[in-house]
Amino acid sequence: MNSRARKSDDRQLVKRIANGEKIALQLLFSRHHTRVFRFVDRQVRDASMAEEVTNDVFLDVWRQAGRFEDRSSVTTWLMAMARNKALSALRKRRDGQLDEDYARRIPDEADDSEVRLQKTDKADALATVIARLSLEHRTVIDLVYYQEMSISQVAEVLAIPANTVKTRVFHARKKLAGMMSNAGIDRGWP
Amino acid sequence: MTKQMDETIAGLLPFYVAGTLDEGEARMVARWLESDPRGSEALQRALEEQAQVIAANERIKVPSGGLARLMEDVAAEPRVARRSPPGLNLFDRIMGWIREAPPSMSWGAVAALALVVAIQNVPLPFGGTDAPYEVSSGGPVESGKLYLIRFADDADMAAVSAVLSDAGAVITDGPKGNGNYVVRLAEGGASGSIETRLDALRAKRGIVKLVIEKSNGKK
Repeated sequence: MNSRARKSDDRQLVKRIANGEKIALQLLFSRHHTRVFRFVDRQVRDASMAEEVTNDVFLDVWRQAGRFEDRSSVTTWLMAMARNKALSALRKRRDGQLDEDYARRIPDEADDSEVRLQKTDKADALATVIARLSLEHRTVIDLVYYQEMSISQVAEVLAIPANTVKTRVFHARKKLAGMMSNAGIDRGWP
Repeated sequence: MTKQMDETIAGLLPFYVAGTLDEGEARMVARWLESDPRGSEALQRALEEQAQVIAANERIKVPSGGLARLMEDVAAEPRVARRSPPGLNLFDRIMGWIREAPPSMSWGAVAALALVVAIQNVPLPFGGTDAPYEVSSGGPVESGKLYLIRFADDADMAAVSAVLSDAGAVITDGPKGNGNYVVRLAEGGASGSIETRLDALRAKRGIVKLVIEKSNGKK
């Protein structure tokens, strides 16, 4: 399905959801819940929380479909909601305990020599340092590489100007290069 | 190359490899890749990052049961009066979407969609009319006969959806462990008798491997 056809079809589904068609909501869920769940899970790093947030996103679609504005793509609308709800869920999480649990499983920068010894494979090392990027950086990287969003779409999801999207991607990649270098792997630049 | 240019390229390369840059910026990046001696390695780095990010996302297992839970929550929502859409043809829309979906989309997804229709008991307008429909709360429509059908492994979804549509068939269950789906063929309709439509299905040998009547106990 080409992207234009999909966008048009998604919009039709949202219009039908606004008219109370549960089947349209089910179709929209079937089409988008994997990408929404993964996007949220990558931010909150907790499957239960990601499931909760994903459910909330689609419940809001049901409640607010009538407010969907055609100037946005449905995907962008969903992801912006998912982003806001994920951030809100993270803020509510007491003491950042779960994130700390996750962080403990990832070697920090002080462990770079260990990373160098353990991660003989460059791809593994790259995967490790991507996981260690800040929330802001890994979110933008996910939106670009996995969610395949354009600059304007990322700008809309993150509610930032397009130029800020570009500089954020640049800083995320610069950070990535620095972390790899600290781990003993010089990937070069840019 | 200036530091400024390096920063610009570093910020745009991920969009370039994802194919989401507008034409002007894509051309600029392409020119830089061709002209700068570091171009090839820079492109390779972005591709490596893309591969790792995709792999990390695809390692995340998506829990099942999300749809059921959502629909429970929706059912628990206060009822709000909504306007009925005029002149919708649900079947055409669903089949249109299935036809346009990528061929690589799994048969599980097709079955899931069909099951959504079956579970929701949406009367399907096989005659192609634009008659309005209702989502009822009763049991499934029972008219017609059930058949077991198996599709060729390499059959693409568009072809299969067209075959099912032409035959006035809807998947009601499956896939079973042996790859069979249960389909219901409605009596009557514009496509001729059930026997005629069965013959047409069986004639699609590149798409349909098997069609047999489902008896109790057959999977």
